[in-house]
Amino acid sequence: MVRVERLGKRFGAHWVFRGLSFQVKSGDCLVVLGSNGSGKSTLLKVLASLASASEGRVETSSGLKLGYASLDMSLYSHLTAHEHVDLLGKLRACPVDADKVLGSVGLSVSRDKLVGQFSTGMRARLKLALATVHQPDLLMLDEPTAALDEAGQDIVESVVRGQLSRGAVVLATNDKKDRRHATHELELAG
Amino acid sequence: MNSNWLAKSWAVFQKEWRSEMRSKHGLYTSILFSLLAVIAMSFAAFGSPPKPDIAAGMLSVTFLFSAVVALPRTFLAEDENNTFDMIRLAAEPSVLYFGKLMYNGVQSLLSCLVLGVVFVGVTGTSVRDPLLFASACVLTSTCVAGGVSLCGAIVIGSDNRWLLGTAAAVPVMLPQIFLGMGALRTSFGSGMATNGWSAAIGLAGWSLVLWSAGPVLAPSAWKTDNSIG
Repeated sequence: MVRVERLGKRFGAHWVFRGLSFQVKSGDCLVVLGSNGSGKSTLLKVLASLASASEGRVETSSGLKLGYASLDMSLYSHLTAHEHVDLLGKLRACPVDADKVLGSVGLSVSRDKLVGQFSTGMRARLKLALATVHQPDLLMLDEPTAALDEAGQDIVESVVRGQLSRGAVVLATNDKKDRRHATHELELAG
Repeated sequence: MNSNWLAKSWAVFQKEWRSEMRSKHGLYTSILFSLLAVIAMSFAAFGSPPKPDIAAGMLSVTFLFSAVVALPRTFLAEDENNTFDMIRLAAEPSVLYFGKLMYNGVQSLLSCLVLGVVFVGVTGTSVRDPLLFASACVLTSTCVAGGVSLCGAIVIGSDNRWLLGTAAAVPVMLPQIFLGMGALRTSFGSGMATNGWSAAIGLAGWSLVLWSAGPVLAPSAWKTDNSIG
């Protein structure tokens, strides 16, 4: 699914990570660990082609469907939750039952609320829903449980389990509880 | 360009329209600037209508700046608010660009038409050729939308966006200013009608260039490809 060879990223003279090589296959859950600033989020961005690598390369299967949710990614504050799901469904050209998608992350009652009025936890749930709206082959989650209550963490767990039954997961986290999903671990030293 | 591509672009247009109708950020900025500019110009003329050449210059500048303060936000706000990653993972860059370009086109058209009428009404400028005047307003709006969208898209994500934006805007906007002023000047009664219509045709051609080249050129600045899959 994804093969990474001697991947490196630097900002100015500082290498955030360097010489990373690994593979992610269907059914794998790669948990990326490391302290704040160790490059977890940057690695996920490079894998998703949202940031450029400074060296090395990322090989992906052709037609790979990617889902991505991160803490620092924002939503449109003047659109409702339902409009977000509808927009992403249309852009990904996949028919979406927005009510079902929102129900799966516990946001049914907030479907017509503007996202600007959402709490941090509700936003995190919506990001999770948007990342999986097209049934991706590879789901990348950056600190998915950081802003969530217990019920929200259960939702993340069920999303990760569901994803592993049809594809793979790359999960960057500081939360040791998230290690229970791991089939592989990668610790970044920073 | 197929129906799927157009449907996705339309979804981006709807997103922009809804966001703007709810926040009204670009609308208010554009209205504020335009009204102040027109009122200032009418005061400057001491109540007497400006000469056609001066009126054409004033209206062209007002068109341009009302667009420059409002339209690039379609692109820059995505970057500033960290929403760009979400949609650029979901759709092809050309889809995102064209959806935003359509939205900028509509906003620019409405703005130029309203501004044209208000300018003529407030300054007392006489319009000798209403058809040429309307054509100049419409074509200037499409040119401005195409040019500002192209510049906004190119600078998104750049560390030095204002410098890059300025450098990109000069060659993109100069033909539009030159041709727009030519068409407006004639519509206000200065020069030969054929020159005015030639300028209007030039504006149409430049619009076509900007609207066709934009979806190809601008998104190339967004590509970050580490993958060889």
